[in-house]
Amino acid sequence: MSIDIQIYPSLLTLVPMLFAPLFLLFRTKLVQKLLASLIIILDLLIIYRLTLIMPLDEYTGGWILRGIHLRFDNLSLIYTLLFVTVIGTSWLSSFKKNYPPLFYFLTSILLSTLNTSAITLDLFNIYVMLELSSIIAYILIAMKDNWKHLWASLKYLMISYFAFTMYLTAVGLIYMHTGTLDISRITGEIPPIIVSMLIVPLLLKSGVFPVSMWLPAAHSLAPTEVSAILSGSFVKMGSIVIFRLINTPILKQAYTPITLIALLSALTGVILAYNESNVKRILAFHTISQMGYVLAGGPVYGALHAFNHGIFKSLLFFTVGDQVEETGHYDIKALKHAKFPMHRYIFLVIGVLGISGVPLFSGFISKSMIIHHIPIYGKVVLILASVGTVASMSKLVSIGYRKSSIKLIPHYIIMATIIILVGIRYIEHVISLWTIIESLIVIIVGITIFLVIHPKHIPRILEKLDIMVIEYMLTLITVWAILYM
Amino acid sequence: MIYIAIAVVIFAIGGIGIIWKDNILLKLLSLGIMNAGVVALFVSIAGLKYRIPAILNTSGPYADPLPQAVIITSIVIGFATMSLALVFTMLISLKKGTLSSKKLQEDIDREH
Repeated sequence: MSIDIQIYPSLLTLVPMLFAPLFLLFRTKLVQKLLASLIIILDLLIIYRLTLIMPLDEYTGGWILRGIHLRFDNLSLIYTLLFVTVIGTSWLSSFKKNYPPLFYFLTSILLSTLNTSAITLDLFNIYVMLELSSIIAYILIAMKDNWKHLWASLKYLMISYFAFTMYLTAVGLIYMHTGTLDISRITGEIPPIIVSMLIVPLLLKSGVFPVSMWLPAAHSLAPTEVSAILSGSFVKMGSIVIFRLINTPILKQAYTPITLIALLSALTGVILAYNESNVKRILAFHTISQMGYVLAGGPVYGALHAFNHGIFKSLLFFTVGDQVEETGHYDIKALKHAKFPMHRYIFLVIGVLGISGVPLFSGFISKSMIIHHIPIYGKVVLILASVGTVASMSKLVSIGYRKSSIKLIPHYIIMATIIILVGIRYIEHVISLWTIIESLIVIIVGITIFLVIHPKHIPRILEKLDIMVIEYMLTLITVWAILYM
Repeated sequence: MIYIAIAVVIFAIGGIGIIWKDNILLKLLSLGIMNAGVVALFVSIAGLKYRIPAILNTSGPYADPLPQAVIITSIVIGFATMSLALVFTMLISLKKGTLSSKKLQEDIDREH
């Protein structure tokens, strides 16, 4: 049976979606493993086949200009590869633990929604994917069935339901103004209020600072693999939609407020991370900071950083999460007594080198690209944020290691290999005396800060639900005001 | 235009409720009201030019059917989200014995 190449993009959605119910029907471990690998292999094959004929446009059902517009291009390629890698490695990791079939069912559908968000150009289709992936995330976060997890999840549910209702309103208003929901065919002026109502929910989904204080509690309380999926792939969904909107009338001259929010987020994220003592919350705050880099980088460099961040942040969440689950301690002081076993510590360090932007590791490539293509005020902020990244990551490294027997853990190795391969393969594009000196200075200053300044406890006022709604409204008004000027 | 204004007011009432009320159930209720505001907005957008519903044995020009198709999906999603939220609320009240968002937040800050 041969399938028309024109409908390959929609297969990215259909394959994980159709296979998902089988996880609930066949509950033996062996079948679950087979199904999981089948989905990953099929997905990779489809992506490979599509790279040969990129860029490809598809209208679902063959309804030219009427059906849902799907497009597979470079941006989709980077993001779909990231989603498949992160979810595949999380499955690999989860087979060693006692996850219910429901977990595989949900993550499989999550993969489908993430893939769809990477290829769709239809504003309403994006809304459905945003909501569906969020519903899955609520359940995944609350899967431990403890009141803390339930409350973290419920907080996220309320704020994002609030936001997406607004997104839907904006979509309705855009339809009223332009008569189309297809991003590539929107023409004419869109009023600033509608633009801000459309992009602030996407910022909330991307996890940047003022609008996504749901993120630390949710990402840190979730089980290891779920944290990796959420930080590695789930938060990237908002950024890809924003990148899709950049060259349309919606965001033509309006990228300034997003850059400003992204820079604020990059800096605040590391400050909050530095003053935190819960290891998983440190990583969660780093996600807020790194998503700032991604959005400040724009569709080319930002997308590359989104890929790199997804990989090293999942590796960090795997190592730290496994350690937390093994010892039962979240606090950095308590973990210093237990220490990391050698085979885990090595991979933690590789992840940290990646996120800190050390040459030969993947973070260096995308961070240097972003820093060199942004206006001067952005450069200063991003370099400061990099210093903060090194300083707060030093806290994790300072936990130290103890000798243990060497174990080969496949999902650690896959992630570490990708970090190093990307870091070496693309180094020629960014290598220069200046970038190397810059990264060395950042590392030295960062470690000095870690040794000199002691972290203080910051009260978590910003994470209250009503304050989150107010933060959201303030961001909305700020974006509107900047666009209006 | 008056229908759009009413829809916006309903939306705003819901938004204010989420900020002001402390009880989780009341917050969820406010969310529901907000969603109703959006539904009202969409329906009034659809009927902005023509009012006749797009049914076979009537004659056009019809009201735009696309916003209504869109809003049905949104109602279904809203239903799913709301059910999930209510289940979570029920479990929280069973395990913790309180529905005050203030108290839950204080406890989670202390313990995590």
